[in-house]
Amino acid sequence: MDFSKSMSVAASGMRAQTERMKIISENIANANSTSATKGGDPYRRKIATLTTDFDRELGASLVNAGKPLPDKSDFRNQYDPGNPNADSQGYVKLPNVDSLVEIMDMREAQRSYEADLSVMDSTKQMMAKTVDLLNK
Amino acid sequence: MAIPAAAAAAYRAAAQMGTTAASSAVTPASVPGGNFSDFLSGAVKDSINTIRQGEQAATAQVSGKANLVDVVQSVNAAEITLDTVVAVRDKVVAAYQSIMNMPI
Repeated sequence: MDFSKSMSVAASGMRAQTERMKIISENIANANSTSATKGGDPYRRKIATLTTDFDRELGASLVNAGKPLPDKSDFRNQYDPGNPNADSQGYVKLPNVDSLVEIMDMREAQRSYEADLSVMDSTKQMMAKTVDLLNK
Repeated sequence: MAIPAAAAAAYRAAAQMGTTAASSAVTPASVPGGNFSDFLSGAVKDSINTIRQGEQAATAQVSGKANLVDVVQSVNAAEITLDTVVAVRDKVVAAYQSIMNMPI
């Protein structure tokens, strides 16, 4: 049925946004994680990727969460000579996570999820109204 | 004595008239695509499968194995299917009752 197709597409979008949300929460949670070893690299920000996959069985393009890519930008350097992980100049490398950017990404994921939810809701209403025709 | 025999003969003739008329005029089994009961049983089997999938998804969710979105999707499909089956059943029962209540 065509309605179940649009339901499946919306569900794939919701699943992809869930995966994206997981990556964003990893970034936010690790915003201050330093390296476990002295002078090593701290947590590197991940970027969520979404890919389109055409499902032949369904006959529709689904969204899938792709492999998260590392953010290549530079780490933050903070002067903190007392930190055991500080280098010889007294700088500690902190992750290249900007919480403002993460919060914007989070909002976007939230809105996309809500949009998919609305699609599901509308589809369900359309189905229910059509079935209601039988009851008259 | 003669009246019941005549009545029985008339009844038999009427019954045969009904069968010959039915077999010559309307032949539902020869309609391409199968008859209505085949269609109905196929649809009911499909809907039972859909409802069973919904139940399985709900069970998997309770045991923490399923994705919430998949559960919502399966349960939704099961709900709509059940509504459809109930509506079709109501229609069939209403048609049966209107035939039964037909003044002869």
